Amino acid sequence: MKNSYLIALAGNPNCGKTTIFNAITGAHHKVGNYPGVTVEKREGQRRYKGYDLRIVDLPGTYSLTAYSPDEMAARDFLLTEKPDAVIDVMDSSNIERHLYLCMQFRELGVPVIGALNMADEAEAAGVLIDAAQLSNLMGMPFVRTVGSKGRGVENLLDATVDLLEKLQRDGPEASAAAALSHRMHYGPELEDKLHELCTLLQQDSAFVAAFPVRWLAIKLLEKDQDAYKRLKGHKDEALIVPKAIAAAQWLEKHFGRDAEIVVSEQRYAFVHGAVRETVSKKPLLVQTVTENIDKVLMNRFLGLPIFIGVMWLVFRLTFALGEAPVGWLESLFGWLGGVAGRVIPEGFFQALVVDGIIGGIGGVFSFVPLIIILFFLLSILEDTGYMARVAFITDKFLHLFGLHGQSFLPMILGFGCSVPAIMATRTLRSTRDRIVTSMIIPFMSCGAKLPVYVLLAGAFFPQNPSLAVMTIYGVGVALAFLSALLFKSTLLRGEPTPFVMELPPYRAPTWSGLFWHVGEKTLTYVKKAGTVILAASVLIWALTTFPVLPEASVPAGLPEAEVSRLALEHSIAGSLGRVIEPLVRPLGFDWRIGIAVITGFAAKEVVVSTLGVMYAAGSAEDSIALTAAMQADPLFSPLVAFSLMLFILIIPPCFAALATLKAELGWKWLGVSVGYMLTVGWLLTFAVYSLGRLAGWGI
Amino acid sequence: MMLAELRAYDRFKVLAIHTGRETGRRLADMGFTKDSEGRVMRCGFLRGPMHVCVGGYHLLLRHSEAAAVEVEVLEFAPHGHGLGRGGRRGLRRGFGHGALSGKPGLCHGCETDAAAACQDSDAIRTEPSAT
Repeated sequence: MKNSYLIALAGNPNCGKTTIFNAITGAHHKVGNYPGVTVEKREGQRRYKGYDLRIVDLPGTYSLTAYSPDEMAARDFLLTEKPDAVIDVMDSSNIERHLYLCMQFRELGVPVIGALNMADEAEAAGVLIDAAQLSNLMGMPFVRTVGSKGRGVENLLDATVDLLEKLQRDGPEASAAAALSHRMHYGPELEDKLHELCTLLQQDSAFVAAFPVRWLAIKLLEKDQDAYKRLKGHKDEALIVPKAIAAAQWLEKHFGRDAEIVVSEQRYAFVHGAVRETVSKKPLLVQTVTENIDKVLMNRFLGLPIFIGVMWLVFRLTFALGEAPVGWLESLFGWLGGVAGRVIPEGFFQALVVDGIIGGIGGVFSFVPLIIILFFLLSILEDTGYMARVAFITDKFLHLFGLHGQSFLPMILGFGCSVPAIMATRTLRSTRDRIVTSMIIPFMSCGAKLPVYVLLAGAFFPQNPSLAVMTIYGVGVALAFLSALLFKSTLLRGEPTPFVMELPPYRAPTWSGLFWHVGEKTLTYVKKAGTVILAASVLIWALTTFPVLPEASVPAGLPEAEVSRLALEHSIAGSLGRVIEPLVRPLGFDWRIGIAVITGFAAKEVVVSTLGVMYAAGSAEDSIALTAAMQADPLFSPLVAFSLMLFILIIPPCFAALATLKAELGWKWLGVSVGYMLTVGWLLTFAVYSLGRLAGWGI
Repeated sequence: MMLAELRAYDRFKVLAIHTGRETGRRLADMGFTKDSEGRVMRCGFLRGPMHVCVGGYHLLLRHSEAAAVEVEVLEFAPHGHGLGRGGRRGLRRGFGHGALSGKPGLCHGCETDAAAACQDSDAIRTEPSAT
């Protein structure tokens, strides 16, 4: 007797699937990715009536086409892992489209249990569903649930266990016969073609064991690319492919529409009939809150200013609320460093622990409060449904550059930190949009670059430093959009991905949902960035420390600042700076700036402290001394300072951002991105510097 | 007539989708199927995306995508409202109908439950029962 089962939880986006998942599994989840794609996969366990249920949360989808990574991940999971049952969560207030998806799960031959979720809201809106009648018509159990309040979840599990027990008792043949009797009829023309294809497909018994034949036949008629790929394993592939193509063409001629649309219309027609027989609606004439809010927030004139205001508020709040905890963490790590300095004897190991490891971890963790607050605020906007409105407001402009309305939020986040911004591109459904958006995010000048701009602009544009900084930000934004246009018309050319998206009703966010989102994102940040930033800061520490300057070569009585400058010059980083000097010389920089650029890969604000050491200006906080030292240096001029700001803006971001790019897009796109940023950064800075010199600006 | 040619508050019935592949499939999956009824809720600035309600679902789509959806117009929303700006490009498109007319029953959908209004054409003609 089998007593552990794999159950997939599926449904449309915005149907309350997550609340059901949480209600079933409690607090214990495992978060991972579906194989080969960056689509989040959540798993939980539940022991119920002596059975071990492993629940996997499938991505929320409207359909199971081969067009989006989400849908492919869901489909692959159902085909390869063959779960014992699917719990399909539906929004009771409008089940039509949910049943449409449900039909597709059933075609895959997997037993389905329907959860009529948000039943309370639906009843309040006057929608009554005859669940028993619906069960009869569809040949599958339906259970009323209210996921957000945990109601009906036990009944749902009861129905699931009952179904699984029944399947176990009846054996596969009886179950298959039951499924057959409730199979959806696609109409004489389609059934005719399906029968023809099924007969051919059934010739290969190994294939029949691996794939639900009828499902594959339907997909072939829909001209589904993935289905044709899967057909490669069939012994009669050469015979079936032309038959399937001919059948699809015949349907298109007969119905005068694309075959995939014919199939989906038939499916909708069936669903429509089921809904008409089982759902009754009292017409209620109430003003909906959602539409009234939308009248303001989606207003063609007010929408954009309100959105800009909201984003401004999010950033101000993030920094205002985050300031204190960031300070506490910084002093905590300072204290830890002090303790370690006293406990560990002076020498190499002490320096590694204090400067390399504690300094590195401190760098990561002092960002955590900001990340938590930022994600908390953004989750509120996301969970209430405002983000979909943002896509409506911004899509027109972004579409001009080949971007998608949903690219806007990640780009804005880029002004804070590229790491969460690149992570946020996961909301984009198309892979191409995701790649383009991720690659242009580093041009949105992140928070760590600001200290560099402030230092340089303060020193060399004393009349109007903010104008200089604004110019740099503006150049970054312009570069981001132009690069998007360039990528979309060269490397990532193709049909524009459809914008069609759902506008969910406004909902009050739930605390558990918010904590869940924030906790998950923060953990990912700490894990991903933490390991890389730590490694990078140890690496940079090593580069700037070794080989150690022999004490004998330092003349006695030299000021300490001068000693650290000599030590840095002597280190590997110093030598590297000299090696790359010929490369940066045409940009107006010398080897010292070269070193600062290299150390900047650990984190961009490190550029400032490196310059501090190079100019022997003491600690990084002592920016007045550094400013004076740089102003006195004949190398620096306003033009060189501007070129350096520009160069820092465009060249690849810190290691943490690069690691995130690699994790989200893979090595190939990381390579393209780094190559692109280095090339554009060098060429543009060279152009500005050369033109400036010719024209005699700011020399 | 194509969906892209409609304006805010017009009611329509879908006749056919004239595109295949991903766009056509998405439209069909989201509920643009033959005979489904809907209403244009609003259009974005400078022909930005359209917000339509079809089969009870609120969807956003671009004008370029709406240009592939053939519809039959069930009802043109009344326009102008005697403001002199006249015609279908009247002021009210920007500010929403309720702000300027306030006459219930003229532009359904904005006074009524939007989901019910676009799903069930009879519902909106019913007098308010219990509010």
